Amino acid sequence: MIVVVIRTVLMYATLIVAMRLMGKRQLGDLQPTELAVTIMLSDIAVIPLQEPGAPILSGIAPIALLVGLELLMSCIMLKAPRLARVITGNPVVVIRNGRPIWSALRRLRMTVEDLVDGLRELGYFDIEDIETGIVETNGKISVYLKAGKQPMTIGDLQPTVPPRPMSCVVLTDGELNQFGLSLCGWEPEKVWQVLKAENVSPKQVMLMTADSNGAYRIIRKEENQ
Amino acid sequence: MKRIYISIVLLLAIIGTCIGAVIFLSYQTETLIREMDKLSDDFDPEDPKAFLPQTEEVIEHFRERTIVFPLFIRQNTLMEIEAELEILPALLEKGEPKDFVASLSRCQTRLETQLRLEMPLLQNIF
Repeated sequence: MIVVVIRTVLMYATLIVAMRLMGKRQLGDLQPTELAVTIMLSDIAVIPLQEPGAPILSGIAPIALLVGLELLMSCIMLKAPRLARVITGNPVVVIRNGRPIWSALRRLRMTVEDLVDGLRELGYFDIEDIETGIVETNGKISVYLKAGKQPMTIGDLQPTVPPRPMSCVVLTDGELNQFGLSLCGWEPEKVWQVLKAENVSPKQVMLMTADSNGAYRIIRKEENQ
Repeated sequence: MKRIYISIVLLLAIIGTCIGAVIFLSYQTETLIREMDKLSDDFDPEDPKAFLPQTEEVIEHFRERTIVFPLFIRQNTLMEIEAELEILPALLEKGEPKDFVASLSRCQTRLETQLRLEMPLLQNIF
């Protein structure tokens, strides 16, 4: 079993290096370490199923090891940004002021067609509209549009927009939602007080939302039926 | 921060299991090989049937000691060795001492090979 474990560590390291060498095009939405684990897990899990004679630990041990390594790597990368950069790479600016940067594309082994395809998938059909385009470490393209091409927001119409707190679910089907309560800073007692004031029992409530300003909305089960 | 503890526990558990498995396999395999050696040394071709109880004892010990081996090594190999061991009493009863010694020796070699394959040696890893 120890041989299998050592081989797994070697293959994990080899796959990460291979992913980094192949570049961001191969990554999809995952980081190199995540993709390495995903590729290996899917095959390792099948071994004990396909070969009944193979020891079950030869499947479980590498999976547990890969999960452990992946967790450890993510923690180490969080603490050591330099190592994280070595493993995941850096984002690369590929468009500046509506012009593709040829040297950056060549470094990523991307063609202009690949870049234009990626932009079209994001809904941008004219490269001229883009102020800055970046290929992220997971291979995704992020764009920042030129000022005249950005969608208009409320902030563009009003000089100051009053803050609007987020509405959170605090009660569903008569059950308190602790996460929602903590988000909007409500205590359970406040929920019960509001329900009492509204003359509604918790069981009658299908959904209750609240925000940090104290505003709330109650949807009764009857209202929806 | 919990993640780092989970990962450390997982890795330590795996390392521990691996080291434990190697020590366990070595101890049990070496004990079995010693028992087979003893049987081979004691064996008298003139009176093969006298070694029937000792042979059956070795087979029984093999079964007992290798009961958890399939957790770490391939079941096929173990079954092959067990099948080879199981014909030993028949060989004694038929009075074929040469075949008996050869079969016993094959079992020992297979066990030794299996143990060597489980060791973290460079030739096994690469």
